[in-house]
Amino acid sequence: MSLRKPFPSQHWLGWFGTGVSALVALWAQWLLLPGLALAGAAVDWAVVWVVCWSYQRSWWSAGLGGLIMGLLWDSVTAPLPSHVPGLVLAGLLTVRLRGYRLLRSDPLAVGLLAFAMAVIQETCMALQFVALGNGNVQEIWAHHQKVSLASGLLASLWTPLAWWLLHTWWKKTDTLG
Amino acid sequence: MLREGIRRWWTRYPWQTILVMTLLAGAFWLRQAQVPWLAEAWYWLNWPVLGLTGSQPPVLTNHRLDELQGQISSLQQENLKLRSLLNLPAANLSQPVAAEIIGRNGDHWWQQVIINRGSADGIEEGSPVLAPGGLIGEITQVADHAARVRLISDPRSRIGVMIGRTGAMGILVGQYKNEAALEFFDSQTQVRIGDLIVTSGLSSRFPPNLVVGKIKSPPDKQAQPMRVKVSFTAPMDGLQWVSVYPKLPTTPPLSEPQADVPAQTLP
Repeated sequence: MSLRKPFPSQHWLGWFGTGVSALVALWAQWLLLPGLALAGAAVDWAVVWVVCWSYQRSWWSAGLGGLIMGLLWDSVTAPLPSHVPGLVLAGLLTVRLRGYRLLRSDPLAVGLLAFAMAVIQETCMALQFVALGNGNVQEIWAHHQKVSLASGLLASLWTPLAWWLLHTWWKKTDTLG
Repeated sequence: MLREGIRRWWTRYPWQTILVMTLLAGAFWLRQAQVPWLAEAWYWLNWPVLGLTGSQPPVLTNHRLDELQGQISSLQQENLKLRSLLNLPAANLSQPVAAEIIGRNGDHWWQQVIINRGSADGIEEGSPVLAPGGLIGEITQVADHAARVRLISDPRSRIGVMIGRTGAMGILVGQYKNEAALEFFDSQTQVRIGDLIVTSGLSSRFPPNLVVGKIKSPPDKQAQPMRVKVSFTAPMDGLQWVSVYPKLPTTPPLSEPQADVPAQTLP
């Protein structure tokens, strides 16, 4: 009668690995290694992770993934302006846009999506800075243009690799979808 | 209808629901609490590397520096004597603690670093952090063996400063880069390119006269309040070793003459 099934152990392993990968993505932003930075901007690993996570999941999973990642990112930087709106939007838009199939190849598609989502994330941050009246609007805008382009490019270069690793892991542990 | 839906959801995904709820609550708590042990965790992650390399702070010296240091210490002594004659509180710094930077935030909007010293080394929240060149930030969060520093290039950083030459006061606001914007209280202030900017000591956050930067560009007189660009004297991009000055016990402000205490007789 009951629909409850014992939770298979490989699922536990799969979720554990997913959690570890999210934490690695969070801490990676504290590392500035050569090759990971372009024009003073670093890779938005949290955006990369959220795009990979959302690419083959439901609306709910994508939104929740973005929300949790945003809250965690706030906890290692500062609470306001928040990273939550940008990352939730990134998760949901990934779900919305993946259907268009502009590119046949998945790795290229996630790279392109990551570029767009990194720009969206930076735009959300810039808008919050303007709304909170924290600094000069022109300077925030100039900084935003530089940072969003650089971090978008870096994200689109690194996301295919991250996606391949995570996708293989999720397929192996049967935790996709 | 809704209850039925929730019940069905619960019977289908019990573990997933619990897991997601726990994660959400945990992440929300972490965000609200801004816990210092995140810095502490980073310290222990880096501990093997720090222990293996065992690096020491660089000794920066040459003959000119020795000469200037000699001059400064004699001037400091003189200053201390004159202040004690005038019954002014002494304005000197505590003994510095050398710290190595173990992490730099790659987030594009915040300028923060983590250092490998914490409350076990006497560091407190609000302690000023200096590098060769001048002031670079203040401690915002302290764990046992690590601390988070907000750099003066962070947009939330606002420091009361003055021009060393004229004493004109203003507020220095970080701008993400190697420069900051200085807003003057008085819009008729005369400034020259290259003027040295020091902390004013008006607020109790920083001790006075710490070197911060130099004026880089001619003032924008159209802007209200008047603004100039300031470049930092410390190399904000190449930071590795810094000095933290734990706060001294606060000296009481100038004591008011009290009626019930008999006036001291001068010798």
